[in-house]
Amino acid sequence: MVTRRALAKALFGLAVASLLGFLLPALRALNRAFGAARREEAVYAPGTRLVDGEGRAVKTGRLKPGEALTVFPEGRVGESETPAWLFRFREEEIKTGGEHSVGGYVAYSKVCTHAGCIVTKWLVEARELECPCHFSAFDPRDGAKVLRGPAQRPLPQLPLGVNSAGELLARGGFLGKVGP
Amino acid sequence: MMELLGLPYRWLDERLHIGRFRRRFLTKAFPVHDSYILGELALFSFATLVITGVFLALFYIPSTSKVIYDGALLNYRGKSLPEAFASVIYITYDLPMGMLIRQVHHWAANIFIASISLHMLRVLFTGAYRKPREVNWIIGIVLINLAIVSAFSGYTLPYDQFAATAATIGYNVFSSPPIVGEYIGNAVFAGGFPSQAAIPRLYSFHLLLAALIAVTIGLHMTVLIKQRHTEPPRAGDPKKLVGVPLWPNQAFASAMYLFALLAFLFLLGGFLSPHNIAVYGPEDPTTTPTNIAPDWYLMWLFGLLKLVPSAWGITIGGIIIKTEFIGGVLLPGVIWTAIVLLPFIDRSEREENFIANPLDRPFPTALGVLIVTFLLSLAIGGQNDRIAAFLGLGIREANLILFAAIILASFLAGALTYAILRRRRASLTV
Repeated sequence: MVTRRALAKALFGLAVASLLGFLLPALRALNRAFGAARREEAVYAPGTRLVDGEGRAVKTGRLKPGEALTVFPEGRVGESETPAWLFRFREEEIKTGGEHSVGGYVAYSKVCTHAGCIVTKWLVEARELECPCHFSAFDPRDGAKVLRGPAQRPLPQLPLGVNSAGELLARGGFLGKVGP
Repeated sequence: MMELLGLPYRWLDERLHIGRFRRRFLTKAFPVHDSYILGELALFSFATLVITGVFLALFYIPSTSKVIYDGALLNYRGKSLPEAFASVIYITYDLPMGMLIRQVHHWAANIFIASISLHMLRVLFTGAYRKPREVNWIIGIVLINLAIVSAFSGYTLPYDQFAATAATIGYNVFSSPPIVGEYIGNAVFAGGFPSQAAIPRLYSFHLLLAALIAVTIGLHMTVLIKQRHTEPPRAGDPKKLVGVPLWPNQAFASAMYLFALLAFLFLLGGFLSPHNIAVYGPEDPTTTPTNIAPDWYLMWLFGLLKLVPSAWGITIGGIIIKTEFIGGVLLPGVIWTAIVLLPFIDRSEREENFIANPLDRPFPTALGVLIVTFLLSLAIGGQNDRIAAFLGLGIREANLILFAAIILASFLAGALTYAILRRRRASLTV
């Protein structure tokens, strides 16, 4: 014997179930808001030339040992995740990361691995790269390893090469995740 | 007063029974104490934020598409700028009264959070959170956090260099929790920061948060009216409430506070520029300004983010625990949990309707002093680079010293408060 109350409960359950079923596609659509991927395309492709802030290619004679420059992938000057530090050191100064260097040139992403600020400060005396936000420091002569927290990972290195015209280029993308 | 309206009043009263409402609510008793002004100031700051915010919303454009600015400010005239930045430049330099109203909005946000904070300290030190008001203590904590997040989202909207850096750090803190972090970061910032979609998303959150704050304030005040105010100790029945009536006494006092606050806000907004975007320039993802720092109410969090050493970031079973998770989420979470739990640590069996003298309560007062000292010294720790330069030390050494000093100062301040108040109590009971 089905009571009126049991029937009402069953109908209410049915109503809730059909409402949820009806809304299922919307809930699945909502998933896209959470799953949205960040930029997937690599910042540097193999063979991409390095350019300075004005878009000019960087030739091997551009820097003297101890000097630094901000570089971008050709055609993408000023875009996020693209800026990199380019250094020239004497080759014997480079402790690690030498296999990705060319003629004393090494390059690292400028995006801090702690909170995504741009590591703008090159402290020439101390030979440290310092982030202006939370003051993490990195050693560009030693694979940009962390000298001081709160950052945990080194700045990703950019493997460098040189073309027949003597212009610096990337042999591939950054060796590691750009930013945190 | 309403009798003056005569006929329309009687017409409405016959239908809505306004007389009954007046008898019940306009005679509501408001206890008198100087510190009770703080909650009112928070309420009035919020009202100012809503009114100035509606004005700004009519002119602000939440978009990062590039447009050519052709207004009065020569530095940017003819330049291609993100639309959000250009619209705030337009509000500030081209719209009559725009600069004043924008700056009043920004200052009102500061005063809103400041008066909530002081109101919270008042409640903390007078034990007004005790039974039966634990619920409103928790609603209040929800409110201050909504206010801080709302202020942060508003801060990012002009899309200037400072705002963009703040948003970048915010994005990375939101995305820092292990496993779920990426989902949270994506949901809050529409897939990352900087990105095309982030500014419209943050703008909709800013408006949503304003609505949530309004609802939460409503809840806070409903509970307040239901439970009645606490009041300064007096002789007589603690179950009764003694105070001045809402109409006319309290209403006139409140109106006076409102006008004083408005005068102060317009003075600040008229003379001091709190976020000068024309100087900072539009968002540029290739650089970060030096001397970056958040507004004062997030300075303690800034200190935590800076002082957590990288050695704390560890990997457990393949899950990476990031330092920005520890400094930006975990430790703040611990601090807020401790504050939420206060009424359950300092428990009371009976209903406490009188506020207490903080000097009479060694343990709760010492705990409050400890928390306040901790937050303030963390804010000082956020200045680690300046302190290091001043002391002539490296930042690593300065961090270690500051870390030790913050822990030591907090516990010392707490212990000292406790010891002094215990001695005071002993001397009183002799």
